[in-house]
Amino acid sequence: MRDDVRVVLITGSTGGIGRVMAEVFAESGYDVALHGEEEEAEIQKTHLRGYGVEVEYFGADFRNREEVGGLVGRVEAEFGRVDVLVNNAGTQHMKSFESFEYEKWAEILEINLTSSFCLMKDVMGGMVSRGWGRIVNMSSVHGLSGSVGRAAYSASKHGLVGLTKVAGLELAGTGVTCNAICPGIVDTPLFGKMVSDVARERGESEAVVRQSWLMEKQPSGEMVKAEDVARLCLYLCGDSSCSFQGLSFPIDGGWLSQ
Amino acid sequence: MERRVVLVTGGTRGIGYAIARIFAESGYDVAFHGLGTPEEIEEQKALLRGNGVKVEYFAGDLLQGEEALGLVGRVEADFGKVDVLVNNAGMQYVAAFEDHELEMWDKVIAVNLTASFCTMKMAIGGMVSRGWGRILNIASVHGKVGSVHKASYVTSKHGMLGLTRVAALELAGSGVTCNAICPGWVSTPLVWAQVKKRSEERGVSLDEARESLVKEKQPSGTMLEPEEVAKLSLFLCSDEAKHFQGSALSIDGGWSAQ
Repeated sequence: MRDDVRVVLITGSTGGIGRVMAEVFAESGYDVALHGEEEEAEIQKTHLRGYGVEVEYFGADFRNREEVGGLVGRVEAEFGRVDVLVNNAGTQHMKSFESFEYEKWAEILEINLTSSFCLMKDVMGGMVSRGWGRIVNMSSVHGLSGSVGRAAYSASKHGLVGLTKVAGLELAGTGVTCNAICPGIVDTPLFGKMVSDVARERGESEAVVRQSWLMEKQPSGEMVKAEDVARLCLYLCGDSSCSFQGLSFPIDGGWLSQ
Repeated sequence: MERRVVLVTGGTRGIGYAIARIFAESGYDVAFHGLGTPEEIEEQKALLRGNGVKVEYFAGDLLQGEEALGLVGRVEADFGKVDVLVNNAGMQYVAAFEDHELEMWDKVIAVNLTASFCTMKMAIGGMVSRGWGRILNIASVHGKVGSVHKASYVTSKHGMLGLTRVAALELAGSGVTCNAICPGWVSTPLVWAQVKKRSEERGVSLDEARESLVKEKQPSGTMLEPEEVAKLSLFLCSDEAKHFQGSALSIDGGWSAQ
């Protein structure tokens, strides 16, 4: 617990974009509260502590409301406060609208959307009382546009964009900001899994599937680097970013410009 | 020629009832759903039937996923088909973020967003098989912008736009379209409840409350009539409108242009 060091809670930070974010924030001198799958948390903790910051891991299954409800309190008990909340944990499931399972719909809304709402609610009071805070919600290009097969994912990511606007307006002038980031296709295990699932279904190679998606949707023809997304997030948490409020920032190789 | 069948949720009041009326007057058979006393509903049925079309009422608690999923099937069993689905049922909940109850969040998301997913999922198959259909999601200006104290409502309305865009892309070229309408302040019970609340909170007349509420956000300075939204809905069901696909049509007196 250190007064002069900012504390960041990044959900879903043991893998994917979140893991890279944890690295970027630790490197920049933040104390880091990790959350996500537990398997490699110990190794990750040790590695990040190498930057000279405090790092702890907190498990919580976002399908369980009690666990979501307890998370911020546990982090505050350990670190004293949460200065930055990055709602990064999220899941994906692709199916045609007609075949989309109700249970999957409910799960995606719970993990991607409702959990973020709950955590935002839990951190806001403390941030406002201290006159400084940052909330960054990881939305997606699918928070601003659609693609086939993504009924629940797109609904949840659009929802996050709306939630971000409301929080931004309610926090305006308090020293606390709330914004969202909308990445396109990012080089992550989540995307890798989507590719391999579809490749298997279609009997095509993963390289072919990946390239066809990139060419179809992301004009740059390349995946966005997770580190670039992380650095955008870090930038939004800076003092000079105090006037970004309720916004959604695409980082998408041209996806939304088409 | 066989008449087209429209199912409108929340069709006993406000925008929904105006839609039921305008469509009945235009020669559609009408399946309407929503809350109301038995007397109110009998009166509405009689009025709508005065247009010489088939009209039936369907109860259904959209807070329950199973009932939302079952609604379209019940209408199809009675009418043979659903050609036009109007997801209009919606509820409002106004509370500052920190006071925004999770239980109410769940209800708003369930009625405004999940129920739309459910009805769309069940209506699509029939529409596609017949090569013609219209899905209209009555979202809100709050599907495009935020306002304070409306975390769940704004989230749900943004989510509706996500659903709309995904469905539109999956349906493109099938003869079925899916679009959203984003009204501003409309003269309905949902809005008048907010006028009344403001008049009580501020100790001003209903008239003063209405004027300040409307002028704060809607440049035109006056509320829309439900019929205006109903007429736009009717237009989107015409063959001339067949290339409106995945659009979010604002009808808001300039609100979202600001």
